Amino acid sequence: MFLIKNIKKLNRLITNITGIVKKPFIAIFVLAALLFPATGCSLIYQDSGFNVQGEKTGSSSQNIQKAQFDGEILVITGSTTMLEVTNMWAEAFMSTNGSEVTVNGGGSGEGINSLLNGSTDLANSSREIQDKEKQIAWDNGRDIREYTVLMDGLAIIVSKNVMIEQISIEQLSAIFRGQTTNWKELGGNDRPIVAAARDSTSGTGEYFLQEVVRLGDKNSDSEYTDMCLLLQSTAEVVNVVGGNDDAIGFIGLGYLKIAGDNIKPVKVTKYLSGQGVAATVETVRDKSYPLSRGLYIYADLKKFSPLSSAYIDFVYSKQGQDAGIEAGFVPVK
Amino acid sequence: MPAIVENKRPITMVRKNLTQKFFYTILLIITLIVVAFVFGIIIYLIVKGAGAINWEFLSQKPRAGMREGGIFPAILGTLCLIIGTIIISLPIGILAAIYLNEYARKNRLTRIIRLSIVNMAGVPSVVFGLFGLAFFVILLQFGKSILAGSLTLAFLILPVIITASEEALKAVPDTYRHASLALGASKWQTIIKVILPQALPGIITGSVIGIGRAAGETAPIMFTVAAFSQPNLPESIFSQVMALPFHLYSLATQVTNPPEDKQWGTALVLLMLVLFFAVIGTALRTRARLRRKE
Amino acid sequence: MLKTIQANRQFKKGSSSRKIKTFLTEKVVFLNGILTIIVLGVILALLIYNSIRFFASYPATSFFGGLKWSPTNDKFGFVPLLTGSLLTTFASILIAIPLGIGCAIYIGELAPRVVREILKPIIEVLATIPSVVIGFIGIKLVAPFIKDVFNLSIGLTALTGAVMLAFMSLPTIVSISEDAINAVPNRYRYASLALGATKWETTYKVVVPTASSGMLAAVMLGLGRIVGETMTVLMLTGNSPRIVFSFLQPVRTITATIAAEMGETAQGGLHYSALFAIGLILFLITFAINFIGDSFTNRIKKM
Repeated sequence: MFLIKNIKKLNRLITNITGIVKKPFIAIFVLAALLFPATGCSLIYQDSGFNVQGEKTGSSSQNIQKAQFDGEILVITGSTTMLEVTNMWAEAFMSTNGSEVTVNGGGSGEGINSLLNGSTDLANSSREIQDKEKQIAWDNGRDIREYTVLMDGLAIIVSKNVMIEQISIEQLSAIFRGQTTNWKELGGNDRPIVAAARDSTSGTGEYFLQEVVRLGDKNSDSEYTDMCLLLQSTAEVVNVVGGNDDAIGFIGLGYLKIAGDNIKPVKVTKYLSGQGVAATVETVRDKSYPLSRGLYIYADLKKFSPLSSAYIDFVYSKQGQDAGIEAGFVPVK
Repeated sequence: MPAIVENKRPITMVRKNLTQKFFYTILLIITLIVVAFVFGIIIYLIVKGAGAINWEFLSQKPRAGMREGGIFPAILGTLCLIIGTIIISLPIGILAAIYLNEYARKNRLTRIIRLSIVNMAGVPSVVFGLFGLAFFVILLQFGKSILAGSLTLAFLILPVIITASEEALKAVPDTYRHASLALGASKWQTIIKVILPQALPGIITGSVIGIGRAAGETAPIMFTVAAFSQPNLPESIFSQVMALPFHLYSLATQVTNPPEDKQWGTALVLLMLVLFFAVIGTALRTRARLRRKE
Repeated sequence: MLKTIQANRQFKKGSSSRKIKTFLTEKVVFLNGILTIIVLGVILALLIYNSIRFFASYPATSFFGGLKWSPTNDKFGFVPLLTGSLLTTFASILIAIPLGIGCAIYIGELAPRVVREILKPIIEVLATIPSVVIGFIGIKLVAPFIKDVFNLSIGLTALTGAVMLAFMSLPTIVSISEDAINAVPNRYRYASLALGATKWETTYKVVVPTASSGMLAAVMLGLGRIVGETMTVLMLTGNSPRIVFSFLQPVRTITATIAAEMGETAQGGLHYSALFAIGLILFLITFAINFIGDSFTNRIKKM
């Protein structure tokens, strides 16, 4: 009751002041909408003082460093494989120097494309830049530099009801080309295989296409069968494979930890006769896991600001590489 | 409807009554299915999402890869987009409605204008996204920005604003116009000082409904403004922001195993925001209708 | 009062600044009036321009007859997208018509006034639910349900999308059908009853046929909404560009393709213009459907 009376008084006051808007509660709505971002934010956006692990930090000592890049914006776009670890990097980086980092997903293809048309500062990519993209960069006068920031392994996961423990790269190729369509052909149940692939924006999808479906042959023109599901992100692969039956998919090593036990990783061997190797940090590091790859950040040297440079330094620093380890990937140092 | 049935043999009547009862029941069931769907969604969202909503959820930035913290930047971003959309679409829409109702003659051009409005209302939102990307982001070089996003959303809801405003202007009796002109006011003065204030309730109603729609759209903002993560205050109208609908989409499809309650909480907040506009719009409309009957 | 009028006239007539002001305001108002035409024109121009660029580099026969949509290999066959959209749309309208028309008949003919006043806002609420929320509910609840009911490997199918799309189109179908039913003059009903028909017989033999053109319009406009919907299908139909004729398999629609692939394309590239080409086709399809629907709606108003 007290609140309602005050709101009515406030309404009348506002209507009298503005004189324009007749309907009282519209006046309050409009004013609130205009004021809320300004006042609400300044109330809320005081230093949250959290670091990467979510613990409170003492903010006073960082005030000096904070001013360094205060208010500058860094835009990073690209790989969904690197989305989690980039979030961690961004959070930690922002808390050290007051900059603002905008992170976009969309896939390695979107990242590189945005870099080529200048709409992003840095591109995350889980595949190498292609020749035709290098050509476009050259045509647009951009000088693209590649930074290998982490090592990753491409883990193969299957739904919980799939009864196989290991798979060979040739078998994977046959599945994703549409030649093998039933799990019984691989020694499993008599169930159709649901192949969860990635769409054309995905670096992971491109890598898998090249190294697995095409068996590493640059001249091959094999493609994903159109029976594949073209999923948009690593998260979707985990959701689809985990939440359904008879599915198989591929994700970055780091996601095995987060995905939990909804999905089942399988060991991979290069040849059918070989011994399957599980995807772990160790096997990727010593290259015994057959599907190891790098994770990259691409930058345009012509537009390389000190902020971008500081970010890359951060990624290569101990704190950055530790974050990479915590995300489940393999550091490069 | 009076049921006057006589002179029918009892058995046929019984059969007809049974047939009637049967089909009535089916129709009732169909309607109940639809109602159950609506209530089901709302109740499910409330049950699963209300647990996540607290002041921290609404006022904190997301942390730890969206798994902790809150969704405040998304709420803020949506508000920024709403404000931008209002600023752009209201003036254009109201002026266009003024043109159609006060100035336009009944010629071919007017027919084409009306046709365009109807067609624009039917253009899929993803095509608007394409338009926004190609025109505002790339051609006009605004980049992914609040400006590009607001422009795209503004044109998306423009047909709604124009239609509602035109109805509101039409409802103002001509006597007002004649009286004002007779007193010596110019046409424009009449419109601004006499007609527009009278039509304001209807215009605001239409706008509120349009804004509710703009707040919930994802496809137009996916390419033109929405960021996966932008936890800070937007610097200018050229920065990206997060937005509630895109945040829900990201949580559901881009983040691996986010906490269930955060997803439902985000969906609930989005639904409440959109329903808020819808309820206000309907309330205004009912009030205006009751006023008019006086 | 006369003095004020004369005083005003002194300022008005012949005052050049006022003439400029009037001229400017009229031009500004006119500009806003035709802005809709301009924007629609720009949209169409962008779609057509990029489509022409696409078909300059990619033969139309390969496009319209192509059976594989694989952008990484520069293959842009439209058929899988078309079948995906058609399958989802067809399933959706099959569900939406009985639900929508049934609901409209109940609300328009059979419901007592109190019930009607409750039902109508509920249907309107359905119209305001954002498509991403519907997609979200679909992923969490409907897809697992369909997977269990039909014993499928995966619950993201054309049917899943179709069910949610059907509900999304209901507000359009119900409200326009209800308008059509209300437009049927009461004397038709009384005449029928006077001749001895029961209420139900009156409804389905007299009212519905009379309102049928309006109901057709309603369905067409609902269809337009279904065809153009993006987020729901993106999240629910599985995104598999396969050519199948079963509702229980994942498919890929035109709208989902545009939404999923738009970010990646370098402007001016073949993929970029390919997406505009399918965007143009989508635009034309929805334009045609809405045009037909609207012309029928005008018929109701004339009844």
